[in-house]
Amino acid sequence: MTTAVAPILHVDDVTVRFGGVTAVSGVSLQVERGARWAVIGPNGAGKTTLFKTISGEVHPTTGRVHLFGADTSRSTPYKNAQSGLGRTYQVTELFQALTVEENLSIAAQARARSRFACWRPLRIKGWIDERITSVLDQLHLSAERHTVVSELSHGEQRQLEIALALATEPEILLLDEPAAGLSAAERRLMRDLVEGLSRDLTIVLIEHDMEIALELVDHVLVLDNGQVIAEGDPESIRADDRVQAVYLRSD
Amino acid sequence: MRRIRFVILISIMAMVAAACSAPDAGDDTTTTAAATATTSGSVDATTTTAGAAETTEAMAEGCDEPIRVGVLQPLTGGLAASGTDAKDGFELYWANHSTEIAGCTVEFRVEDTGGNPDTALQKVDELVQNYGAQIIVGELLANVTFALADRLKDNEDVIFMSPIGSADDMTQRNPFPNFIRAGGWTSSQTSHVLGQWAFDNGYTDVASMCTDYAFGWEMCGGFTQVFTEAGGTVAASEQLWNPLGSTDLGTYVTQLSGFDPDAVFVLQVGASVSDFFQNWSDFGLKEQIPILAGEVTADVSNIRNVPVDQVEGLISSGHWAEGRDAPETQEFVELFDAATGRLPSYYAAATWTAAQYIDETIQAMNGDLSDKAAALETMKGLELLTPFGPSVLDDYGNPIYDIYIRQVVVRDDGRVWNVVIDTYNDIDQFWPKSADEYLQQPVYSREFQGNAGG
Amino acid sequence: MLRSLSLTARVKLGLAAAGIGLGVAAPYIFDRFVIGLISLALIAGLFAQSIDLLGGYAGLITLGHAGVSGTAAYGVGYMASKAGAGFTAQIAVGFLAGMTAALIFGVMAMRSDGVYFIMVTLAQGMIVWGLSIRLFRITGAENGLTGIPRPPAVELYWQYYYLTLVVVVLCWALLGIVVNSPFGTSLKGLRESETRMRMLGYNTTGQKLYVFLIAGFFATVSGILLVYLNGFISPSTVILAASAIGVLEAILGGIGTLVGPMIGAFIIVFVQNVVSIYVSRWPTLMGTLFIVVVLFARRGLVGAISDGWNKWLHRNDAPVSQEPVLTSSNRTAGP
Repeated sequence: MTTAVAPILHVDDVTVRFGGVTAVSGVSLQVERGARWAVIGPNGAGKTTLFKTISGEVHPTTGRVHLFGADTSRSTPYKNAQSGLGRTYQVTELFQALTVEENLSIAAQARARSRFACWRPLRIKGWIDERITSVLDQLHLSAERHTVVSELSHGEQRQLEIALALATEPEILLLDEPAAGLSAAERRLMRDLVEGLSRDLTIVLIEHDMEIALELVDHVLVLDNGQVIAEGDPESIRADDRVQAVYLRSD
Repeated sequence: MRRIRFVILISIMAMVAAACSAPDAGDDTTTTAAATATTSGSVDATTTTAGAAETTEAMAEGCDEPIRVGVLQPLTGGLAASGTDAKDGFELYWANHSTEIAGCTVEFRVEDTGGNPDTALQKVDELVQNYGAQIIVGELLANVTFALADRLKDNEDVIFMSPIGSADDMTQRNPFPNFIRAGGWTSSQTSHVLGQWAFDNGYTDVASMCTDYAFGWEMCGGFTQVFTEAGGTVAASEQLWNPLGSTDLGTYVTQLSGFDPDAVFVLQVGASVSDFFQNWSDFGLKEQIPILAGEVTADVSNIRNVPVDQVEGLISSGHWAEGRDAPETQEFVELFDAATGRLPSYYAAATWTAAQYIDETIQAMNGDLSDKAAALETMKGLELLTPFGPSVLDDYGNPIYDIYIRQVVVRDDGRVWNVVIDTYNDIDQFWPKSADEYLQQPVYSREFQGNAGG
Repeated sequence: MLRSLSLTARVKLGLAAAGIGLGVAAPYIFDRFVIGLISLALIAGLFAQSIDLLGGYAGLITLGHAGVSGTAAYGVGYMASKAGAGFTAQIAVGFLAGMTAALIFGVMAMRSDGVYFIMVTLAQGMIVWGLSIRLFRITGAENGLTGIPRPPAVELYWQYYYLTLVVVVLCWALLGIVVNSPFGTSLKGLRESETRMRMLGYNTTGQKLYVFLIAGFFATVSGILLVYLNGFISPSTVILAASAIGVLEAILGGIGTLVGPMIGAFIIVFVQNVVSIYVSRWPTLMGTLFIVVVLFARRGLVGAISDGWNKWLHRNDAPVSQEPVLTSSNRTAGP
């Protein structure tokens, strides 16, 4: 396998069963470096399970997952993260009792050797400080640098979700419903934030809100009951009758 | 800036004041502490006056200082009931005997160890250094007793009496110079006798079920060795060991009945005692297989918590028998019952006897305990009639007693107690062997039960 | 230098200096009994701090930590009492025993979290206790091991107190470095969200083993200090209650801090040994104290004191402090 032509993410006919329940059934997708993908579908369609399979939190029952050209079907989340995968959570998963800066310093050092250092104080300077500052700027959180996370608003916490993932400098970023629970105004802000992320960064996002999803990406995968029911560019998906039917049914 | 210095100053003062208050309080409340300690338990207030209140009166002429005794027992925690018995027995003695002896005043203080050696070691330092105790009486648990003995072994100004802690080696292979077991016993001393009695009474094949720790090994080993050397059989495969503190003994009891023995030697402690008798009764074994119980299992402190029909008739051996028909025993039993509403356990008898030894030693030394080695020798030379019966001490400081074969009987008032059905006179800790021969063998353990049959 | 620090930092510095000053002066002020108690409390405090490194910082509450410190103590005790070895060998074996226990326990516990971690460590503590009452050739069963003298240079109580003080203060400083290090910060992340830590690229299993070994090291030190303080070791040192009291001390003083467990240890040691002389129902008193702290000062005494201090600090500028909070926040109006 030559890495030059290999896609950054290749999900190959993956099926995931929990006991008797099939959460994901025969799903395949190939994400090229720098591409932006959305996985949409109604609740319970298997979107988050697919994400977990990619990140290594769940192992596929059959089928294979390749990240950065390597088979990661049996890999673990931390190994995938070490090789450059970032992921956010639909339900906010932050270090609530720590400050924004501490959150980001943990994330920034996640892929550095210094994460093991226990013989010297944590120093937020040099590259760590630069990275934290840049991520905070990108996500408009600079003013909250020293705020304890639990005191942030929900919208700010959603922004920090992405900031944490970005601080590890991932090559591919999985965003699990970044706009979940946000107001209309905040959604627009979130959309702009994601839109403004570096084009070098490969993004796969799950979004329940089809409109936001379709505005942000160039490839869409539609799941229903764990199966792919449509795939293509946003325009063709918007026009697809089956997709419309699924969304009408779920609403 | 001034404000900061002020805050720091106040903080330092507060810390110093807080820390200083401890020893100060310790010094000026020495005598009242005795009173609080004695009133703290369940003893009736009348029993406390003799112990402490009188000591504040003018000193008698013979002594410049009162003779102070420190008592360490677990008054809180899992062993609180037994520790309280021990405390009550000691206090009861002084409530019924003058604390003015040979012109000296005896003063004592009871301290709670919580059954914890760390605490006991701190408290014994406090008693010896601050209170000025010349005699320490303690504790119930073997490990705490060992810890105290080790701490006190180099202190030539203190006599350490252990009337309850009964680990064999304290007066056998690991003796301490200023340690004396007046009022006490060694674990295997009483079960040796039960082994002989069992063989004499026609049992030939006995199984055992003992708690799996040193006290259980020693009790069981004492029985097994004498019984098998006399000609009986205890198959190693029929010796069951249940964990300390277990309260689900059904499986063990089932196994025992499968061995079909002539009798079972049983040593259980604490909560396991009532669980054992409940199971034994539930499986219908009470009428089929006789139980021969180790002393503590049949002690009144344990059997008073068991339904009467489950323990009535139970055979055991012991240096204590509260139902022994002798004035020196019954006087004490009635006093204790009147004061506490309980029949006295061996814990209570032990500390009463320790107090009696202290009393007699002070009399014999005419109030002068300054030479502890001499006092120790004097104590070892005493021949006393105690609630246990006649008591003398061997060269190792362990009592030579009459050991009783006891049976649980229901009294007229409905309570159970142990009466004497047979007596073995003048039994020392090595009986039936000589000390030299006995000390050749290792201390009893799960691996060494002295089983003559192998 | 001092002027550049905040008032709070200066007060902390002052208290630390006062504490160390008092610690150095103590043998000249107090009698042997109190010095013995302070030694015991310092050792208990170090033990509670090492529990807090796991529980308060990494969120891994252990109920078997006395198994680690106790194994170290038994290592020393065995070499002194049964093998008759020299002090170097005693201490070396003590360290080896403690760290081996920490390694084995760490490997067993590193894949669990939350309640399961508590259960696994509880079982580990019980195993050590079970072995301590069974392996009588090594441990002396429940009689324990006696005849463990201190090295001649620290034989006297006040000499040993100074040794304890130096070692505990040194360990405290080391712990301070650990909790403020990059690794220490990542422990807080582990406490807050293990899922997120994994997804950021942390091998949380390895992280747990690592912190277990560090905590095990300090527990080992405390175990070795304790066995020489008492000259004695028995199963009481490794029972469940010994581990639980360490956790209690940390909670009482304030978990997630280093000074908290030390304060908690001093309180409990003094209640157990001094208050119990005057108050026969001291366990009730301790229970009440604990309940009050848990109900009204959830961050322990240190948390309550620091809250009170902050309130006092801002008592005059309450209206002023409101303003910047509002203006500095770019909080958008929520839905």
